[in-house]
Amino acid sequence: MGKLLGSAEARTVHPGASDKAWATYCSARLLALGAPLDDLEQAAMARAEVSLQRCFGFDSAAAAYHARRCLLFRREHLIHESFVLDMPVSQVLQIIDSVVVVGLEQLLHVNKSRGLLLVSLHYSLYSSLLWLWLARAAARGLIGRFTVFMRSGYMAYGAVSEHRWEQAERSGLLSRESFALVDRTESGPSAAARELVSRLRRGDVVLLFPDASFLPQNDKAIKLSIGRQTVSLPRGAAWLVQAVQCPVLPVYLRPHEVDGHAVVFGAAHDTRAGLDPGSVVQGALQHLVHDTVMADPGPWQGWVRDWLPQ
Amino acid sequence: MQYIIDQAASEPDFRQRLAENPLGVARSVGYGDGIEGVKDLLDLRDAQSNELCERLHLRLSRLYSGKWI
Repeated sequence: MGKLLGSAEARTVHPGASDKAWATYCSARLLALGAPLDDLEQAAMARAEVSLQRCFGFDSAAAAYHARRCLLFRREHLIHESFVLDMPVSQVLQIIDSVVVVGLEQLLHVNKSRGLLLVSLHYSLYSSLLWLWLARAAARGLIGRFTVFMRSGYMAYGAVSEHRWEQAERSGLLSRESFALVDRTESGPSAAARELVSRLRRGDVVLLFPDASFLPQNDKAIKLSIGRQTVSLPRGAAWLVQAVQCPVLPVYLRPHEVDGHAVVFGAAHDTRAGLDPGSVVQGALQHLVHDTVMADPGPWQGWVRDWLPQ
Repeated sequence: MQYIIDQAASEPDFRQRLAENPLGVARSVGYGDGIEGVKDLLDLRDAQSNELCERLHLRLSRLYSGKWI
């Protein structure tokens, strides 16, 4: 368990972020934690407690602790989504540039001509900071063209105004020449899948989150062990690897030091090692689960869903 | 911030203080310098203490329409 910060001196200094912008950022994050849990959050916390107990064998107190952390981390996620939509772009850029990178060599060593599938989990601030960091990396030439696959309807990225996109491009946060969203809701699943294959075949980097939905147990699903339980995921990522024969790299965002975040890249998983596409994706995802959910379960959004058999 | 989350998850007294006087807690733990910036950012310049939290929470709740991923 952590301890309460005793003084402002304990806070991390983030080069590149102005004091005022960083102070606003941190104050907003703290205030987002302040309101008591609402009815939806209380119900979600109850679901999370059950899942945590079944997966880890926690007693009720430990399960309640981690379940509440899960809901508070979700507040963190939401306030960051709000920043992406509302905060001055120059300040969003400062936040992105404060992100620490771990395992960058894993990303840079991948053969850039083959396409690269990045897989992540709905863990920590999985959407905004992670894909914006990657979009900025593409704009700066660190990686090739970058595409993120998502389902709109949850967050209104499709409703981001043209003016805001232009601001983001002018600030250097991203370039739409090197970054694109592929929206399953807008395109439909088949067209979106074809688009992703096309982009991977031309050598792009594609990010997707295979744990966006869970399936009933079946033999064809990707199986992940979460402690004592198994969760089944759609095979979309494996289908992409089958179609393109590209490597798969696990990546996630996690809290770092006092107020910051780190993007962490794991080792590449590849069919060239003699594995079938399903095993490649399963290996990358199980690596993610080991390094994230098993190490610190609170920030995983999977707990709030109703997914375990009764 | 994760220390604050851990404390809010584990200590009911801290959680209650955070709910009742969020601005006071923010100042006591070193996160008070940006409160005016938050009010400007959210266009809530007249909001007081826990009202600011409640309105911020309402604003965030509207982001996800009840969906949980």
